[in-house]
Amino acid sequence: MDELAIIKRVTSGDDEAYGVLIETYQRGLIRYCYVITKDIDMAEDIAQEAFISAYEQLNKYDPKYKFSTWLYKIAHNKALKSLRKPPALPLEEDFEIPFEDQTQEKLDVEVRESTVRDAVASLPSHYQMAVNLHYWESKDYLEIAEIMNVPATTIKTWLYRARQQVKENCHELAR
Amino acid sequence: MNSLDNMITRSTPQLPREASLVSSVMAKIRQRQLKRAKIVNRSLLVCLVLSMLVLVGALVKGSTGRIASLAVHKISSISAHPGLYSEALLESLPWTAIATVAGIALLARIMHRHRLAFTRHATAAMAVSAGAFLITATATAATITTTTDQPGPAQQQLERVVNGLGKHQVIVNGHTYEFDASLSDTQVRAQLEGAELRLLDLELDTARGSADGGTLTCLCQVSAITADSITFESYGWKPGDQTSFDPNRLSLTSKTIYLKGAAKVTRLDLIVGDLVSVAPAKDLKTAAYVAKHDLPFEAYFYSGGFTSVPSARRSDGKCYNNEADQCPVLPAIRELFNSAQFNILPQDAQIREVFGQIVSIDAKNVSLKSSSGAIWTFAVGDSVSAINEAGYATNDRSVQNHDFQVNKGDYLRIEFWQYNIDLGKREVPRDRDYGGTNIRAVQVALQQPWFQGQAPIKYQPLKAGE
Repeated sequence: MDELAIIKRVTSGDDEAYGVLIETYQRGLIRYCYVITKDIDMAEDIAQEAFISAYEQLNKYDPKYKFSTWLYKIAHNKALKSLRKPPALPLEEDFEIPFEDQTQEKLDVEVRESTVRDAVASLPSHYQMAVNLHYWESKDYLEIAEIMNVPATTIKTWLYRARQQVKENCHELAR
Repeated sequence: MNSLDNMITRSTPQLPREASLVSSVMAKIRQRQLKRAKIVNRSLLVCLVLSMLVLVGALVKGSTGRIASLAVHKISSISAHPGLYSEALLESLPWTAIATVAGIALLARIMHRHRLAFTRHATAAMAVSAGAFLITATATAATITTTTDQPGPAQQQLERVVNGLGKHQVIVNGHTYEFDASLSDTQVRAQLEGAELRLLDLELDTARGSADGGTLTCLCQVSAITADSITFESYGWKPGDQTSFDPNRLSLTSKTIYLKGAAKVTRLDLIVGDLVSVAPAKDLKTAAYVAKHDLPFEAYFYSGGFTSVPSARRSDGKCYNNEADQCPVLPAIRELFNSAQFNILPQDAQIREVFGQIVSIDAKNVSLKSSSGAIWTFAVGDSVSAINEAGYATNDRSVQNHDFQVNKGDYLRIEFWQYNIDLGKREVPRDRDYGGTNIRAVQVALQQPWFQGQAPIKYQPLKAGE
């Protein structure tokens, strides 16, 4: 269904329609928040708050932007705000690394992807956010600029430098 | 470069777990909405209770209860005037408070029906609550300011009707005119003027010729109006004396009729409690002329058949009250008779009087300030010198048994009684025949002048020796 039509239904009182939007964007939004916070619990909480805020301010939504851009912007602000707060005491959890029987080829691919992920993870946080939005959430420069509240040219520069650094990091990691 | 881009794209980080936020987000939204709806509902309930209290207060303070109770106590009168009663009841209701209660109740209903939509935003819920309180506070202030126990025009008219007073019944020339109380002043006036104008000439003639031997009751108060008669209670000469007149000969006109001789007729609006001057016809039972006086009175007239009052001049030509054989000069009387105010009196009036407060007094003169502010100066001593048994100061030596004692600040009524003087010529003899001219002064025992907006206090003459 057309996104605008769904929003119209929600604003006219059909709350259930909002579930469709949550369904559509929750995964990417949690991932984006996770990239920023590095904490899955916090990322889910922030994504949830972002959805609630978006719902409550839906009458202020400007259809000239994509709904996802507006939603990510809300989440972006909330995530940055939450990082400024003192971190909650971590719960002691035992994480088990799942063991899977994998072929060599598959293992090679995973090693490469893992190397790239690590290279991205070692980037400064604003580069990471830009990379996340561009490569993983398929946002263009203008959308990323709107979400992160910086000029599009800056985003372009950040992504260029991020690529360079990822390349260098990958070489280093490969050595 | 493209391969790097592809590699980065493919290396999308895996989340430690996959969770659906749909149910948790929707539950949280619903929870917040219900919480806000609760706040709004409570605010509206408080506003509703407050406005109900204001409504009850306004009903108690205002005149609604009084008007409503008339339906129980005066049901026969009310049933004859349902329109007027409805109008008075509507007039007495505290509309501001009623509108507030209705408005808040309506708002509460709308809010209840659309509570989730209204409470989607925290600010909207707070704004609705604050708005309801603001409306209630404003309406309360408006109700307190506007609610009064002073009856409006319809309520006054209703109370006059149910109490048997007022303008709803008029008798002219033997005919009883029943007016619907809902008629406008103009309509009533139009109906009356025709009848009154036809009678005017005749009545004026009758009034002019009615004084011979008649009892002219000057200042009266209307004490009852029925279909058969109008009863006036004397206010001046004989306290408590009641005279009923046959309404067949009664017309009610304004005192301006005599002022310039022009037939200026005002609509009849005599009610119980009005102060009037009445000039009866020769038969002493029919009133030819009733002039309603607006307070305050300035000077008015009446006579009482004092044919037995002796002449002030002795048979030897000397004045009774003057040993020097020099009759008192009465400049004040001449002044009064020549004044413009005197012209309001009909030519056949025999006694005038002035009511006022003594503002100065000395051995020879006493000055009264009348209700209009005019100063009337009279000679004391010779002309106003004693109090007779009936409580009148007189220059009649035969009854000059008591000192006439007045003080500055006292209220005094001075009567001028003309006997055998042709007032039609507007002349008072100066150096001849003072025998028929008499001044009688009556000290009025009043604490306050009745003409200063107070309810009229019945005149009580002093007893001899008091």
